[in-house]
Amino acid sequence: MDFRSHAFLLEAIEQFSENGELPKSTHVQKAMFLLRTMDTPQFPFSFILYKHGPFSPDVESELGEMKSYGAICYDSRPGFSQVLQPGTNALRLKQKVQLEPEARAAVAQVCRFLARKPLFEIELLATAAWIKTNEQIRSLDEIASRLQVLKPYVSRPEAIRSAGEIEHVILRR
Amino acid sequence: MVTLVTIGRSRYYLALNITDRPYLRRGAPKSKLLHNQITWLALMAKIRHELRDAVHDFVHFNNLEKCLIDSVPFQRLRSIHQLAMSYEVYPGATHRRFEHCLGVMEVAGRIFDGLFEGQIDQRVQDRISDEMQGANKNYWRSVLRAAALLHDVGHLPFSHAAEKALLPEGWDHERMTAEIIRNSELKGILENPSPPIKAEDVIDVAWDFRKRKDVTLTPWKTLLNEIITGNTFGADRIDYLLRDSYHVGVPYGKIDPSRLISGLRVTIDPSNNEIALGLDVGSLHPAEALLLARYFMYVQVYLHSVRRIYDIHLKDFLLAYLPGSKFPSDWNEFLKLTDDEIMSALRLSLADTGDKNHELASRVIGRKHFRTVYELLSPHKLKSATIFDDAVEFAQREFGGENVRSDSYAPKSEGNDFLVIMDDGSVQSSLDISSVLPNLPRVEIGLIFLPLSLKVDGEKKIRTFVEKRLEDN
Repeated sequence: MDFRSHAFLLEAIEQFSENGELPKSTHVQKAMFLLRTMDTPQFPFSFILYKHGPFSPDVESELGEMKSYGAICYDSRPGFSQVLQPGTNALRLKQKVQLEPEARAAVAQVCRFLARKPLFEIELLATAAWIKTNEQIRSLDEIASRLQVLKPYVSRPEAIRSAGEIEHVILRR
Repeated sequence: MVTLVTIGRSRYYLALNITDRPYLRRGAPKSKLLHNQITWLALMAKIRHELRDAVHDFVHFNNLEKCLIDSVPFQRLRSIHQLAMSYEVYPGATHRRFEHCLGVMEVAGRIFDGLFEGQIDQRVQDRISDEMQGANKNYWRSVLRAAALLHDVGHLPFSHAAEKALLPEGWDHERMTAEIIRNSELKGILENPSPPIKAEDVIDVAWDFRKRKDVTLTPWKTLLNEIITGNTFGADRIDYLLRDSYHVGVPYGKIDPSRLISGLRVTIDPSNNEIALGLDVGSLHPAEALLLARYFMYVQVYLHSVRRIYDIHLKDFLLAYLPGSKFPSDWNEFLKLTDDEIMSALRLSLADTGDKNHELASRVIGRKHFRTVYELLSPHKLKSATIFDDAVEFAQREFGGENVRSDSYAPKSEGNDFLVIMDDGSVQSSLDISSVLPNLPRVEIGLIFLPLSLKVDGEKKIRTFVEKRLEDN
C-alpha cells in the first residue's frame, strides 16, 4: 500500500475544501496531473490522455483503496455527484506519512488555482498542460491549435485562454 | 463479388456484396457462362446466417462475419474457457470465449441499431452527420460488429488474468489482439469487401481506449469503443454477466438487456461538450440492476476463493512449464496455444511422478489445491490499513514462502457515474438521480492460502496474529 500517494490525495481533497470547492474525483485527477507537470519530487502517479483529458488509473484505484480503510469517504450531494471528504482515519494517515513542505505548497497552489472553476474549464487546462509537457509543444498558438484538434468543439478564444492560463499560472512556477 | 441475372424479360446485374444484401442493377450480362455462374450464386448464396445462442436466442451474422468466425484465430476461441478453471467450483462454467464473442457482436449490433435507427438529438446529428451518411453508417456498423467479434482473439489460454507475469514486458491480451488482427488472415478478410474495412479502425474500436497510452481516439471512435468496452453499458459486460450467470447457475447476473439497450442514447456531455453515451431516465432501473449484478457476480463467482487459488496454481505451473516462463509474443506462435495444449501438459506432468512440474500439476488437476486460511474483512482494514500485508508477511515467516499463496483485489472505479437524460432533455449524473448507485459497495478481497496439511494450524495462528494486531491498533 502506497501511503505517500494517499497523502497527496488527502492533501488535495483538504486543500480543495479550504478553497471553497466540493471536490469530485475529476478535481483530484486534474490536480494530480498538474502536480506531475510541476516536477514534484517523488510524485507517485503516471497518466494517460483520456477523452476527458489527462487521467490516471492509479489515482482512481488509490482513492478506492483510501475509502476502504476510512482515509476518505464519499458524500453524495444532489447536484454534485459524489464529493470526496476526509474520512474517520484521515488523521492516522497524516500521522503515518507527512509530505514535505514544498510538496504541500505545490498541492496548495494547484488546488487554489483549480478551485471553483467549472469542470469543463479544468479539463481544458489539464489538457493544455498535457500538450505542453507530454507533447513538447511550446508556442501558445500551437498549444491552442492542438487543443482544438483534441477537443473539436472548443472555440479558438477558449483554447487560447486555456493555453495562456496554464502557461502563466502553473508552468512558470 | 458482383454481376448478374435475368428476371422475366429484363436483364439485371446482381451485385453480391459480402457485407450487404444482394441488389439488382438493370443491364446486360457479360457472357452466358458468367450469367449461369451468377444465377447459381444468386440461388445458393446465403446472405444472412444465424446461430442459436443460449443467452440471446439467436446470433445473426453476414458473410463477412461468417468468414471472420471461420478463421483460425477465431476458431481458436472454442478452446479457451471463458472463466478459466471456474468449472472446478461451478461445474457448469465450461463455456468458451467463442460464444461470448459472438454474443458481444450481437449485443453491439443491437446497441448500434438502437442508437442510430431512431430519432437522434439534433445537436448530436450535427456532430456525426458524416458518419451517419448511408454508406458510412453501414461501414461503421460493420467496423463495430467486427471489433466486437474479434475483441478477445488475443486472450491467453484459460483467459488467464496474470498477463503481466505470463507475457513479455509491455504485452497484454489487447495488444496481442491488435497484433493478430493486423497480421493474420483476419486482415485479408476485413479488406475483402467493398469498401474494405480498415484493420486499424477495427483495432481502435476493439481495444479499450483507457488502456492505450499511445493513441488518442476521435470522439466518434471513442463512442464506438464505449459501446463494446464501456463499464456500464458495454456489450462485453452485458454479455459476460448474462452468459456467465447462465452457465455458472447463479441467478445474480440476470438483467434486462432489452430495456437497457432501448434506453441508450447518444447525447452531449455537458462537462466537456463532447458526444457520449447516455441513458434515458426510464432505463435507469435496468442499469442499476446491471451494476448490482456485476457486484454479486464478482463477490460470488469471479472472486470466489477456490477459483482464485486455481488461477494462482495455474500461473505457477505455467511459469515453470513455458519456455522462459512466458507465452510467445509472436502472434503466429501464440495462436498455437490453447487450453487444450496446457491441459495436455498438465496431464503429462501429473502422470509422471518424476516430472519436475508434477507437484504443481497435481495442485491444478489433482484437486490438491491450497486452502483458504484467512479472508480480509472490511472492519479489519478500517482498524488497520495494512492488516492484510502484515498477515501475509506473518504467514510467510511462520510457514515458509513456498507454502503460502496470497491474492488481493483492490477496489476499483466501478463506472457508476454515467449520463442520464431526463424527461425535459437535461442531462444529469446517475449518482444524482439514483439512490442505489452511490451506495453500491466496492468489491475487495484479500485471501491467504496454505496447503491442506497446514490449514488447521494456519487458521489458528493467523487468526491469533490478526486479533492481536487489531487490538494493538
